[in-house]
Amino acid sequence: MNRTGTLALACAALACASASAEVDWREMVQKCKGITDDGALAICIREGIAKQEAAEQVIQDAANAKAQKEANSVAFLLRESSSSIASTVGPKIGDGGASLSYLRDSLKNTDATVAKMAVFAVWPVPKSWASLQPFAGAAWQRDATKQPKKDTRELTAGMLGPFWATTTGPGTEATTLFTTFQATHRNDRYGTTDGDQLRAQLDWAYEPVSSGRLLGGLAVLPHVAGLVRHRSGGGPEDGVWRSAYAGVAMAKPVDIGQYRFKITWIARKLFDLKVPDGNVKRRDEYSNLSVEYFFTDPGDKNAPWQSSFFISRETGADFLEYGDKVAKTTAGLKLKFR
Amino acid sequence: MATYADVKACAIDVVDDFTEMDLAANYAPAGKANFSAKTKMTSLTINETTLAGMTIRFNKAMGKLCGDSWNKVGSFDMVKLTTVGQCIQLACAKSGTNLPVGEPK
Repeated sequence: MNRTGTLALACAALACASASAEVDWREMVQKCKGITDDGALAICIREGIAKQEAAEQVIQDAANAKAQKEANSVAFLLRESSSSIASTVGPKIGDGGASLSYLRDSLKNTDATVAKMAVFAVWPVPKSWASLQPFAGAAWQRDATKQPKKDTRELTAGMLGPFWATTTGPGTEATTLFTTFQATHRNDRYGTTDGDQLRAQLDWAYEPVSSGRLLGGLAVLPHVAGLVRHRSGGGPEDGVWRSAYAGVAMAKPVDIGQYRFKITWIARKLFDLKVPDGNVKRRDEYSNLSVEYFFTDPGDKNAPWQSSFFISRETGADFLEYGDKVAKTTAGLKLKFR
Repeated sequence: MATYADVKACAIDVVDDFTEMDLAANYAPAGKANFSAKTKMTSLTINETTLAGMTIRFNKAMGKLCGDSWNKVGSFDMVKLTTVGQCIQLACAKSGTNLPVGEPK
C-alpha cells in the first residue's frame, strides 16, 4: 500500500474514532505526513491510534462508572397524581405528566391556581426481594377555580412489579401477574376526604394480548383491585370503607406519522363491600378515552421532555382520586418530564 | 466474573424469548444480521407491558450468569428500554460489567 493510501486509512480510522473521543486527529495526521521513512511513518500512525484508543478508553471508563452508579441509585419521576404511579406497568394509560396552571381574572381581580403534581422516588430492587420495586412519593392536587376550592396533599409509599409468571424460561405465551401495593395518607384542606388508604391492584398480562401482537397492535390489560379507606375528615362519611374495583386498560398506537398518535382507553367499575353506617354502597363507573399526538418520538426515552396534544373524554367518577361524577371533554397541550 | 460477551449474549437471549422473531440467531454479525443494538423493541413487538413482565426472566438469567454481582432490575428500569442496545447497557450496568469501547453493536 502506498503512503497516500496508508495515510488515508489512518485518517479514516482516526476520524471515525474521534466521534467519541476529543483527540485532534488532524494534527496527528499532519505530523505523520512530514515523515519520509516508511517505518517511522508506521510508528507515528500507531502512536496516534494508541493515543486515540487511550482517550476513548478514559471516556468509556467514565461512562461505565456513571451508568453503573445511576443504575443502582434512586430515580425520580414526575407524574400527575399519586395513583398514576401504577400505570408505569401497562400501556401507559393515565400516565399524564404533572401540570401547574396560574389563572388571573382581571375583571374580578382574582387569582387561581390549578395543580396536578406528584413526585416519586423509585429505589432499585433489593437483592433479597422478588422483582418488586419500592417507591415513595408526595402529591399535590389543587383547583382554586372551583367553589369550594379543592386542595389535597398526599404522601404515598409502596411497591410494584411482576410477582408471578407462568414461565420464567423461554416462551412468548407467558402470563404475568403484576401487582401494585400502595399506602397513601391524605390531607384535604377544604374538604372532608382526609384519611389513609391501602390499595392492592393486580394487572393480568397474557403476553400475546398485552403486547398487542394478537389484536393488530391493540394492547389490552385487565385488572382487579382491593381498596381499604379510613376516612377521618370530620364528615358523615368518616369510617372504614372496603371496596373492590375491576377494569381494563387498552392502548393502540396508530400507524400515522411514525406511530405518533396513540389512542388509550381505561374503564373501571367500583363496588363498595362495606361502608360506614348511614352511607350507601356505591357502584361508581369511570371511563377515560384519550387520543394523543406526540410532537416528539414517544419512544425516545432519552429526551428529558415530551410534548403532546391531547383530547380526552372522561365520564363517571374517578374514585381513586375522590373525583366527582363528570361528563367532560378536555383538549390541550401536555408537557411531560421524564 | 462474567465477560462482556457473556452478558451481551444473555441479554439478547432474554429479549429473544419474548419475541417471535429469531433475534439471537440473526443478531449482527452472525446469521442474516437483521438485528443489532439499534433494533427497536417495538419492531420486535415488545411493548412496555412485555418489558415490565420481562423482569422475572431477566433477573433469573442474569443472576445465574453473574451470581452475587447481579443487582436486580425492576419494572421501572425495564420500561425505559427502547432498543436492544439499551437492554445490553442495562445488563452491564446492573452486573458491574464494563462496556468495551464501541459497544454495544
